[in-house]
Amino acid sequence: MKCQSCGANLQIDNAFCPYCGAANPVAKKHREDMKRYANDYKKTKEEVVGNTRKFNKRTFRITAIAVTIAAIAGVILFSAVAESAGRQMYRDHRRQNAEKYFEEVISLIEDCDYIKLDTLARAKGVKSTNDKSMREYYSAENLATEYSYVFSDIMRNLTDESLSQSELTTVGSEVYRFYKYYNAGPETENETVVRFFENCKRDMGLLLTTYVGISEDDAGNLENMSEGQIQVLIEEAYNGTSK
Amino acid sequence: MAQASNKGKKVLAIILGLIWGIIVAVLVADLYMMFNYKPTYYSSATRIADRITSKAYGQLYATMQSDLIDNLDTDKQTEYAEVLAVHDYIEAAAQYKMYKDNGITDMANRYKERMDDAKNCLGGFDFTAGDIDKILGIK
Repeated sequence: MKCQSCGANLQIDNAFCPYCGAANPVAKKHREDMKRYANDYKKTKEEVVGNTRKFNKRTFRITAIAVTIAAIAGVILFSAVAESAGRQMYRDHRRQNAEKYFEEVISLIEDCDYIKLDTLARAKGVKSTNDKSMREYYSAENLATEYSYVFSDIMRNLTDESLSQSELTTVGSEVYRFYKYYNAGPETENETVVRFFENCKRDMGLLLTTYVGISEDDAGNLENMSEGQIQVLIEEAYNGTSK
Repeated sequence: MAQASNKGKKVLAIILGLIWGIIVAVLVADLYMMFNYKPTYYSSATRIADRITSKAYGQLYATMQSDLIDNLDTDKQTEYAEVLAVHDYIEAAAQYKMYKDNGITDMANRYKERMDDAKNCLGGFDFTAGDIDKILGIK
């Protein structure tokens, strides 16, 4: 800037002209402005720092609460699937060891030991391995399972003093399902399985004549009956034996 | 004001701490259950004792059979040994009678042997053999 008195060059903060000694009216205002700016800056800085701190604290709190809520949701979800995941792991483990029982299963099929076969094959998850060498025996395992269901229900009914209609219907349905598997055939030419099928059918007849009380003729004709016919037959036989 | 704010912070910290404690506990419990999964078995000693007392042998058989299919490990749990013998006796005796009555001697003999084996393991439940024979009609 220039001195208003002598026109010499002046710095804005020079209170007097160094050449003519005249007072610089702008210098005072400039100093006051600078002081005000410094104060404003300090105030604004403090405000910004304070706000930032407050914001950080609030953000931390909200984040902590949000993370906790998410963790609760995660744990609830995990709890819901933990049991089924455990069950799956248990089954996988069982399946991995199932191979050890293949020979025993085949031996039980040869012996026509239906219940022991069903128990072992299902307990050890033999079928679930889907092993090629065992596939021709699957139909025998299935038939044994159906036999075992009927046997188990007949045993339960032996000491059940008041058989309900639904219990009788269940036996009928299970017998029907047995013959459905039987009629589907062994799905293999393996002689052991074919023989197993024939013996299992004969023994289902024996089981029903011995413990349910159906006639030998009816037992021989069960494979040709509908589910409803079998249910009626079983119901009548149970009612007949209970008289 | 500042004191009230500090108190609020403390309360929040305690609540969050508790919640996280519970979360970790539940997680550990779930993981334990997951890695030690076993199917639910219904043939507990108490339940089976009830069945024997009420002579509900058929129900005992069905329950035990269902557990065996669920891979019940009877070797490790000695409380099941005698109950398993009752189950095996019912199974063998029922089939013995079925084959014997229908003249299938070889099968009848096989199940007679099993009946005898099971009978030897009945222990304190040896009285059940007579009951079961009576129910099945075995002379």
